[in-house]
Amino acid sequence: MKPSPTVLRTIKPRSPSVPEPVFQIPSLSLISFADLPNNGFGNGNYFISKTKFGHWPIYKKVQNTKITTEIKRIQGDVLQFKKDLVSLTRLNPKFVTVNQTAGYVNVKGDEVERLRSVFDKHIN
Amino acid sequence: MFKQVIRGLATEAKFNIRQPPKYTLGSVRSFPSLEPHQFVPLPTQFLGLPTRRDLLWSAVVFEADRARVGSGNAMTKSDQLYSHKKLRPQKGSGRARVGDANSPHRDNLIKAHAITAPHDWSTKLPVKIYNKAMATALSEQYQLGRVYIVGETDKSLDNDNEKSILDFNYEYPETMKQFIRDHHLNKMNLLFITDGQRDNLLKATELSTGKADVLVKDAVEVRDVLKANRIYIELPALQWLIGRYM
Repeated sequence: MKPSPTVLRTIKPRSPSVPEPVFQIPSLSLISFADLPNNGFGNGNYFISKTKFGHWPIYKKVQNTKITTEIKRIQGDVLQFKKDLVSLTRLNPKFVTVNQTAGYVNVKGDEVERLRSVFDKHIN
Repeated sequence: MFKQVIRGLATEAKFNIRQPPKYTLGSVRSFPSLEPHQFVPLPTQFLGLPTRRDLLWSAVVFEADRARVGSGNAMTKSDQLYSHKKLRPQKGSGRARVGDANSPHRDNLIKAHAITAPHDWSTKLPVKIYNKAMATALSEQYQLGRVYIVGETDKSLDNDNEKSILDFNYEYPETMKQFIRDHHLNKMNLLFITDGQRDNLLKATELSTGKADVLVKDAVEVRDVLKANRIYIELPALQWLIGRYM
């Protein structure tokens, strides 16, 4: 049989199966004490990671006519973050609500652009 | 004027950003003595997460839905349990109009919109949510000190009983009973997560009295992890779980 385009289209080569990633244990000597628990993280401090595309996790949340700004991915002391945010941005503390379980902070109104610029300025 | 002075004295506001811990040190033990031999760094993203009951709830419901067979067999009108004869004349009885006895509004077994076999009860859950729930469940157990990692023996001692895998030398149920007795595990739910099939452990647990599950790494569900009072896991199985669910 000649290898015509019609014939070749019927042959579907199997793609090689990708092996599942297995966690490789790093050497103990490469780990500093600051990488371990009880390094003081969570007591009056916190961490906010960027998304995989390098953006701050700040989103406009629209629930019918209620518009809020949601800050996600807050690990550690969320209440301390609220205090710092209020003092830096002069937001009304009444309009800033905290979800400690999930690590979310909601701000009343659309404050996305303002908060992004504050994050860019004050967090490296 | 006074306000300006006070403002100048106040410390400059800033975000208190700090890097969270990356690793937690897990003790690697030998089996069945559970004697610790070595520390291994394990990611806190997998074993140091805070408890999120909402995620655990979602994952458990997802698994329970997935486990349903969907073999319900309720009667419907088309199953024709009764005769098609009109129960009484349309007029003249002084009572309400009725049709035949196959009507779902009568006090019988017939349902109007029955869910009958085969029915797929499985629901959907984002993979990210399920993965995080698995990590949360294991973190919860790890932080309560209920996870024992097995994977190292003391090579200097020439002891045939000590193993770096979750397996006994013999398949007799007495070995399991002795393990339970030695580690004070009576009336506890035990979960053994192995890298491959361990025949001796499997036979010893199924014949001995007590609640013990032996699961190969890919068969572990969030429900199994949450139900257990003690989890014994082989180090390669834990590495595989971290790679899969983190």
